[in-house]
Amino acid sequence: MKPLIELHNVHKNYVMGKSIVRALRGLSLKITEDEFVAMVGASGSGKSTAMHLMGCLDTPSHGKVIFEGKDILNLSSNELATIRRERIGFVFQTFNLMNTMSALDNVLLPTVFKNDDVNYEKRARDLLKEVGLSHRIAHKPSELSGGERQRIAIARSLINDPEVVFADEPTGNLDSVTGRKVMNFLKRVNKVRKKTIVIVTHDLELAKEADRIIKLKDGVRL
Amino acid sequence: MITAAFKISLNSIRQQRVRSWLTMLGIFIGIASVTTFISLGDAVNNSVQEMFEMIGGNKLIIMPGAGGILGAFMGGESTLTIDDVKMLERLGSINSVTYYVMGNSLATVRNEHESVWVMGIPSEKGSDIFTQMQGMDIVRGRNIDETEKYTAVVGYLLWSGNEIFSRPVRLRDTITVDEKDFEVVGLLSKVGTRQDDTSILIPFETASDIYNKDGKLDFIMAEVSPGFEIEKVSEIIKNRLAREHDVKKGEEDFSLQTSENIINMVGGIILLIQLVFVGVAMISMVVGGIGIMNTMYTSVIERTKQIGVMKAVGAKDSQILTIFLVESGIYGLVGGLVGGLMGYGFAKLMELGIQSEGGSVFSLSVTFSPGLILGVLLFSFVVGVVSGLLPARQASKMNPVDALRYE
Repeated sequence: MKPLIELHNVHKNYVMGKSIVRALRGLSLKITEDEFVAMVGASGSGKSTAMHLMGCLDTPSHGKVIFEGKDILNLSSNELATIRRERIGFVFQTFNLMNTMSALDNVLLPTVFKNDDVNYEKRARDLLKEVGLSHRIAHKPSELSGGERQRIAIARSLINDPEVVFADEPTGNLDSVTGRKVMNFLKRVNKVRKKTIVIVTHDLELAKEADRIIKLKDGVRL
Repeated sequence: MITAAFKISLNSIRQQRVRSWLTMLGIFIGIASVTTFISLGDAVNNSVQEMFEMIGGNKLIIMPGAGGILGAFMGGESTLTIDDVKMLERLGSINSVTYYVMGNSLATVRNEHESVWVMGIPSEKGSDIFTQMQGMDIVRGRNIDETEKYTAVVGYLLWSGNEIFSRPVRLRDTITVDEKDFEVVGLLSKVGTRQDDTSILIPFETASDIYNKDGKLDFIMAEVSPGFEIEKVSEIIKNRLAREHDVKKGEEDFSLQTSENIINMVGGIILLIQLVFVGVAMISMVVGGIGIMNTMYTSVIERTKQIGVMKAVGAKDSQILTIFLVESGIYGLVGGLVGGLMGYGFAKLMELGIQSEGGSVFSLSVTFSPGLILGVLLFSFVVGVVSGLLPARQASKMNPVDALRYE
């Protein structure tokens, strides 16, 4: 199995007001293709920061983040945007959908930033069907339940056929039954579609569903 | 990408309807005033030009007072006399000369009283010289005869339609001006300027008596003989007249202009007025631009999270920039479109107002100019885009993680 993402002795410092927060303090890890990994830890353990770095949303203060063999510090912001668009999908705790857009347009959003003339609408409809939302295509997020919103977000994360999907507390805002469904869906994406899945959670029960668990505490592996 | 940018921007604009309209208000006002002043100015210019095109380019116009065409409108005691006309007639460089006295009176036709312009025209050498030089044409009846004292020829608007008199004036009708009865002997064709089309032409002596002009003239027009250069002739006559009036150069009590001069002068004055008003309107455009900038800054902050999401799913900085520039450009463009139409409407209203004002000299015709609207749209779009530049840059430079975390 090829390593997809590698972190080598990664530090990440934030300026928060007048103080500096050391979110990561020398974290090293590897994610290989087709894995289902759960990153767990208490809040402030640095798990979200680690996910942002692996997802090319941010760059490290020290150390190396290698995505598909490329050191992301050597990439321009345009190149990082292209990687996020083509290789990565994101699912967030708060769904992060565009409230003014229909379910279909939300799923299509990542394709808007591609510079090709391909029509992705059929693909988007198929994905919505797959997450069981065919009947909700024209609805806006405000008209949908939390579980439905998260399923739209999952469909959105898959529209560009990425290599890896990052899910940051994907069930955090859902009741346990709905959370269970979302989790099963992510597992199916991993097994059937052969996508690498990295979920970030503080819920150990949920983490047990993963192939591998990475535990973080105070910015390092436990 | 650009169609999607429009979709996203329009969504955002629709989301905040009231704020969006208020944002565009400054642009409405600015563009509306620009359009109004430019189209009105152009209309006045066209109307003046038409008036002089009819007269022709080889005419000299002499008016009392130093103020020229403006002085004539302001009134005042005339200094021009028949002697001046006789002097001009003796010059070889002058082909023909005509003149008039003018006043505004209530004219009565069949117990109906209306305000009209009355022009006293010379008839002893044939009143045709006057009508020809003025570009007038008698369509029915005849001109005033040299022996007559109480005959009249009436302008187009008096005998056609019911704009001035509810029942149009006909040949052999009687028009009463200042308690004197005139027989209508001729009807004039349409000239196109309001003053001419609402005029009554009567014999010079009679008009001179009515308005107590005491032999003084309000207007002299001379046609330069073929082969003579109009500017040179103009200079010679200016000096002659100054000598005969016993005034120094630079202190003339008359003004002599070629038709070309007058067109240029009026054009110059109108351009100046247009520039001043457009300048004032520019202030409103600046205020409008600041309004757009303010709204865009607010919009960027409100949509921080959206920006984060768009960046997370792969939007480049330049694409975020485009989305926000399209939004501010739409504000400018829609503002310009609505403002432009409003301005054209105002100009049209003013045209109607001026037309219904019977005593007015000009008849204005405001035309819809696609060039002006296009220019105005381009300008307001540029104002919108420029105003959105800084906020859009701020949006495009946001760090995706910070933007996603924004609550």
